[in-house]
Amino acid sequence: MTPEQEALEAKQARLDELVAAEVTRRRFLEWATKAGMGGIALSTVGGSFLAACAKGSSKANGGTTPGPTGDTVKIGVVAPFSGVGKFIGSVVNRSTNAAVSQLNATGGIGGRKVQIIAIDTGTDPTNGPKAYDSLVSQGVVGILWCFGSGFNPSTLPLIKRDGMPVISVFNDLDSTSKLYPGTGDGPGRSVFQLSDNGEQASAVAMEYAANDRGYRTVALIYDAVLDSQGDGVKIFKKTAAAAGLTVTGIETFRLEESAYGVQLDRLAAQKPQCLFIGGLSGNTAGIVKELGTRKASYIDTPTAKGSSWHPQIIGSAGGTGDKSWIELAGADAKVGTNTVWHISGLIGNPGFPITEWAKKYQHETVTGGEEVPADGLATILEGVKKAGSTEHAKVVEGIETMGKIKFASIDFGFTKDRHIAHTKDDLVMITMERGGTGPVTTDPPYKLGVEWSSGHIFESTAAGPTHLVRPTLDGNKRAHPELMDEILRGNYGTQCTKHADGTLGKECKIH
Amino acid sequence: MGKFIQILVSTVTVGSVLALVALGYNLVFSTTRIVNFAQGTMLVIAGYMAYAMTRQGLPIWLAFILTVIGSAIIGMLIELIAIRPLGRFDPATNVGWILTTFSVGLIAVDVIGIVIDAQPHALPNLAGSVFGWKASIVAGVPITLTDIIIVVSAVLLMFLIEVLQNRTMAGRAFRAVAQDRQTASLMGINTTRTVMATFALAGALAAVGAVLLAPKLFVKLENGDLLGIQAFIAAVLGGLGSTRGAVVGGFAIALTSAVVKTVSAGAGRYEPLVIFALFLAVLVVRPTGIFGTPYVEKV
Amino acid sequence: MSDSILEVRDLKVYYGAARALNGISFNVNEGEVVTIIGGNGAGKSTTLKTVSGVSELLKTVEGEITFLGKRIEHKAAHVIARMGMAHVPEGRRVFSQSTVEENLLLGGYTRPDRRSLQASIDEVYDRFPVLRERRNQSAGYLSGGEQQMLAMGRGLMARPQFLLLDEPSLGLAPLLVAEVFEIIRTLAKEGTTILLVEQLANLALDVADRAYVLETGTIAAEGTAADIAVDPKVRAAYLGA
Repeated sequence: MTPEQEALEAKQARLDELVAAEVTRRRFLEWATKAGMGGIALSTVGGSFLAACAKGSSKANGGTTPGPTGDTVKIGVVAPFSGVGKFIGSVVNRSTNAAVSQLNATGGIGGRKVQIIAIDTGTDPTNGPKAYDSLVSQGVVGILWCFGSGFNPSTLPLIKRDGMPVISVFNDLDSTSKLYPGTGDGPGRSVFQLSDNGEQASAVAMEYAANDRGYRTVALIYDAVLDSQGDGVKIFKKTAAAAGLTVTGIETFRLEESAYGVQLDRLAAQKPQCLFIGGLSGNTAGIVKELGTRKASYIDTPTAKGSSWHPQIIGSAGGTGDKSWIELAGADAKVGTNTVWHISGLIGNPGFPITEWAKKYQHETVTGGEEVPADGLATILEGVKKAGSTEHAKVVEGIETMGKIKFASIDFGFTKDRHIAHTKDDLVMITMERGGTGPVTTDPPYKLGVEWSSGHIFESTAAGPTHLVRPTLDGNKRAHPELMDEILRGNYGTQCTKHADGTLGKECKIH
Repeated sequence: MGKFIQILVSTVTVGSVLALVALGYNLVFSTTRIVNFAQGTMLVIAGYMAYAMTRQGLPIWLAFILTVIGSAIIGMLIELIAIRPLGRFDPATNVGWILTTFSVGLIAVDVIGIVIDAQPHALPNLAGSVFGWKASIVAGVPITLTDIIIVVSAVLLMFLIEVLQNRTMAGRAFRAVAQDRQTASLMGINTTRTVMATFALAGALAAVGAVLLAPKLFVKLENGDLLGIQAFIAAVLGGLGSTRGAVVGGFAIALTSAVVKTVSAGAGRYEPLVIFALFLAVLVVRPTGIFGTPYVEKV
Repeated sequence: MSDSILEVRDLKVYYGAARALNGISFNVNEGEVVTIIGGNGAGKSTTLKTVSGVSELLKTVEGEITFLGKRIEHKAAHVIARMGMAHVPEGRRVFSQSTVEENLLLGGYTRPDRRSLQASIDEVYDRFPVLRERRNQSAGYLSGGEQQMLAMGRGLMARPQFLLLDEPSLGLAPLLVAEVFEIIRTLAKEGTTILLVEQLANLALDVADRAYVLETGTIAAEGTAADIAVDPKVRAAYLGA
């Protein structure tokens, strides 16, 4: 072979690599959004995690905590530490490093040190089986699968075969039925899910629209590229029907688009009182801007129900959970756009232990989301402790019988017939707010929680989520009475009063 | 009526946008006979450049001018990195440029993702209002200043480029280099510099496009791939190398997509299918595109 | 040799490992018509392309080329063109997608006085009336003879001090060949310095003052055109006598 041919071959190889990377980047995006469709996962990732990238200092060390290797409990962590999902990886790093430091500083697990073996799956889903095999060969007792590529049909059979305890972190499997003892063809009994389920999230949003807002009609506009299978649509229809809402229109757009006029025209004809948007932040912002130029921006509940069209944007999917759409949409982004969130990711509650550990061991500030991988880690260790063994089947049984534990954030647990940590009561509504100048002026005035006041969480950011306490308060109190007390006492979240006669406090009229 | 206006507005604005980007492909193709697959990336780079400058507190008009200059330099760099090392070659038989322009584009997007960030951003509008006018609503369809600026600038730029290519010595030199680089050099034309100049021009055009589009599409990494591919189709559909072709191609795609979307709510899913079918049909009938000139064989 | 416009000394040209010119030396004086004759593949076109600086794949050049007192063997074609050399390439190489008039305008690309280009175009049209009729046509649609006229007209547009003509007769009908050489003769009379490469040796020797015979990259003979024309070896090899 001549040097020219060799050079050309090298170029070709590099191109193949790049094309592969590109293709998988798209696939990653598609997959990520699908995971978040009608649910929480991407909201979590998009919102607090993107904020995390902007603020957080990254001191990622690849995730492998040095320590004694002889007598250790090894736990695998799979996440995208590089590529387009890197922002997830950095949160995972911060979380697991802080948690492991805390665990080892307080005696480890039964005297044994905890060691993390982190594997970067980047953006390539085919890395999943490779990562899995590598972790198995290193003798891990369980795996945290953190929104990593490869938690897919090619890896799941391997997990099922080995009965490997896997905690799915941030992944929304999109269906409780795929988790044990569901009837689906899912990964089997050894997989547990910490984050929330798309259908639950959509149901909470629908209940909020129907019960708290009193809306009767709802419409959806979603990205037909990212949700090419229409999974989000199915969930949307089902949960709308369950809440007694009439669907007046379902429209699509495409990722690459900048014009939504035709679709919004059609939606406007039916005047749905609230509009669900499913898409990435750029498109969400584009739609909201288009509503703005049509003078159809949401103002408050009465106008949403009025004769002219001012739909309230209620988010189920990624676009509305990602605060960056607010910056993009500028003045057209109105206070009152709501998204469903999970309570443990609640505004990066400063009271969560993970906040302190990150500061103490890593000299880092949490940015929201760190509590979840750490809790996943605790879950596996709890299973090991309970089983008194690292044998997979016994650890799984241990997790199923762990009861409730409290580690990095709130108390949670799994049971034999419930392999998902969160119930509907663990979900909260959050409202996207404008930063800097604070919220828009409304009449009557709208009161924000203390997180927006000087020195608190969102002071420096342009926009961020605020916990809307009231809509889900009862359920949240059922699930986490202490946490809700603390939140209300600490004056976090918007404060609304429900009078004895069932009417709401003045401040509740907006939203 | 509203539907008609909506289709019209959507076609004209989206079409102008596509035409602008397609022009970038054309410029480079017309001098080098290569398709610069990094064209979409230049749009992304320019957008992030403008964003980085406004973040530093520069007013948008100044950031715009600097971005045009900066993006022209990026264009030259792409030529230097992706094309120049290939040496002298015949683009028809040596297709290394496909690899190199693609690679440079992909690498650049990843570099932006790492160096600046991967998040979408908004840019301030170039003009908030003209004579106090910001937007009007015609038959329920809003027409904004941004729409008008995009359309007017696109038309103006296309006119300027058409004049440049056909009425000036530089334009003639561009076309001479495209047809026969050796002979062009015998005319005293510095062919290396000419090729670089077209890349610079394509870069400058990308910068104009990026800033104009920002109010509608924002500055985001996906713009390169998504817009780049559609604009490439527009350019080929209209006839690569033809300015009029870029406009017609851009508008044809925008019209098709607006009409498809208007048919019904579910039809949006079939948009790419219809666009590609149109693309194929046109190319079967006219392999050189609508305005493409068949290549005259050397006698 | 101060009246030499072009002075070539020991010129060696390689294409990769293959040697095309084996160290040839020749010169062209002001006002002279010099011809290089020789068979196919003797290196005639290579010589012209090397002189005018046309860069080609894998070409390496050794030796000295001095044009108007300046060394040019490593200069780019556009630089040499700006010094006043116009090369009318083999096969015409007109810009087929540009119009006749645009081709001529490009010929005047190096001229600083762009305002007077139109006057020069008119002169070219006077010299080649057929081009005037076809001024707005794409050059690709011209006949071979018309393209040759266009190529020469384009070369003249630069008002060159030195004109290189490479195989102007190639592919033309006999009547057109005669016409082309008539034009060369006129140019010569007007005092244009010309280096002519031509396979039709008898026609070339007829218009030239001096001649070089190139054989497989080496100068085999040189002298006045008249002497070369009667050289028995040359006659046997190239003049079909």
